[in-house]
Amino acid sequence: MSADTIIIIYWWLFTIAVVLGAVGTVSLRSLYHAALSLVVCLAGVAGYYVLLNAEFLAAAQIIIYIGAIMVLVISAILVSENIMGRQIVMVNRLVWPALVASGALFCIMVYANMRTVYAFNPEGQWLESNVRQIGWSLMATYTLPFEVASLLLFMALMGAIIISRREKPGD
Amino acid sequence: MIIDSATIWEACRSLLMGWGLGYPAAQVIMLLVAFLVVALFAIVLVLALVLIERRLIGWIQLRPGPNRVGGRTGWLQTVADALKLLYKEDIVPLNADRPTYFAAPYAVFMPVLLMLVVLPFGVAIINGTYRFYVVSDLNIALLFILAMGSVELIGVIMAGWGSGNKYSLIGAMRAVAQLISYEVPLVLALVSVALFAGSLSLVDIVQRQSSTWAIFPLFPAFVIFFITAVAETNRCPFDLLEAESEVVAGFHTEYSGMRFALFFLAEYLAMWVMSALIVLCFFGGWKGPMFLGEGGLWFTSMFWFMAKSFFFVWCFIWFRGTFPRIRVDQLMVFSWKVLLPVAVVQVMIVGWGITYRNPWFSANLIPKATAVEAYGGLIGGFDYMTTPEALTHLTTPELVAFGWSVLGAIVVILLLGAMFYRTIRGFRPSRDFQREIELKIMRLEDAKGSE
Repeated sequence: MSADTIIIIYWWLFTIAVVLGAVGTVSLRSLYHAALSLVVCLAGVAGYYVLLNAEFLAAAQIIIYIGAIMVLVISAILVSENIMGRQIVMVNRLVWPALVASGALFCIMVYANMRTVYAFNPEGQWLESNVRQIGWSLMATYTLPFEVASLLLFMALMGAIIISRREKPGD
Repeated sequence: MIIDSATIWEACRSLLMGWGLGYPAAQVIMLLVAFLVVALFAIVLVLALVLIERRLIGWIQLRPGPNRVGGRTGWLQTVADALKLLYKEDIVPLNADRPTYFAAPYAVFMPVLLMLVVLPFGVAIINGTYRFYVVSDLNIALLFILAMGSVELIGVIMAGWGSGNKYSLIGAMRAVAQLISYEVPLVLALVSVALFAGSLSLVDIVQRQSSTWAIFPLFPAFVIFFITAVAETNRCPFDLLEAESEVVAGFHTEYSGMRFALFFLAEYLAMWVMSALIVLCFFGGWKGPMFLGEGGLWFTSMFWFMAKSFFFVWCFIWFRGTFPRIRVDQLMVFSWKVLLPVAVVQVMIVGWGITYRNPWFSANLIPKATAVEAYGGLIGGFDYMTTPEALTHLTTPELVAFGWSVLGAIVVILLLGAMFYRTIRGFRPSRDFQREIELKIMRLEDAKGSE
């Protein structure tokens, strides 16, 4: 048993979580359970990021996808009374084209995964922190795209507020 | 001379590997040891916290019972509570969504336990090397703690919906609203700290607070962080999601026995983790006077860390004993209209100060510049306490910054001291409230009389 064995064990754990979570997301009958299995899937992806020596990305994945997006999705499901707790058929007549498309995507992912070099080295030491590099590239090299993205998000936020705001009779 | 540094966990692992064990075996053994240590620490800590909270609340609310019953200090009551929880019947509601109902306590408890992994407890000097008491010195430790906090929120939602109870669901919805809105100022307050220290690793953040604690330049961030920490741990006055008079017990209404105990453990552990985070980010972590010298640093560092963190635990309990629960609308308005703007302005000011090297915001860099000169690079008392000799090595802007720090320290100590004095002098909220009402009635009567 070598250090590589440990990383392979971790890889399999994360893979099982991702695959089970993804299958659960599309096959569970209750939307609430489907959302929870999507949480498991996203957590597994964060695990992959750790194996690729991208801890910052892993933490961001958990904070943004699980802590913000999935919480919003779940609370949206909870407040929609007509779908909460009801069993829904998750399949329609497009199931076969969807299966073909996702099968093709799966093949591409397997190919990409086989070519990936995992950054974990046998001495058990993590590589140099890349938080600083991410900060530099966001704030120096790619400032314009970063700012444009934040402006876009800000506009989306404003738009959501304006659309959902209830008009007062006096306005 | 740069002193080599590593965690005590890595040191033990290399010790095991020195005995002829392979890397994977040593890693697995050390993971098990770390799990045992963290879990035991968590359980003992929570028992102590429950005892402290019961006694303090009893003392603040003038109830003599908790301070007299159960042994001489009330400790037997805590043991009895723990045993009762262990032997209680485990009830599963008929209406429950069983998989999420069973998974929820673990989804709430495990993230909080994992937070302990990145908290540095202290430092020892072994063979001229810093060995930090931390399981893993992640370079994203602050983000890791925030991430674990958001996973905990998923657990709360699972508990609320899985119980199949209206009150639990309302509690969970309140939890979502409250935790999401208070996470924003919390993160912004931590951003100021990360900017000030130039790192996200908790060990680095503590090491950067050598001459001045981060609370002095970042006082508004500290206030914001303290308030949001109280809100994030769902404690009074922000305990709307488990308000007894409104939603029974919130998301854990339907839980009993060991499952309830896990929620209970998570809540108290989160309270301690938050106070430890306050200490690490704003109060110099394990740094304090080294009264046992360098050889005793392994003890003094832990002593100061635990003393400071328990002071903030005490503050949390004091908060609970002092403030009434606030309303939902007040909660939201306070977060979005007060805390958020202040936090944003604070981040802007800190960013400005660091970009233009304002001495007030770079006071943490003072000893790094002068330590080598003053002590020839030795790890003297200097790294842990500003000495009079070190002051002679400072340049004028550094002296100005140090002066500001001292002034800030005096103001904070006076403020806290005055509050403490008011508390121990026998501040009785009910009596003061009564007086206020009497005064109001008198004023009303005066107004009537003058008409």
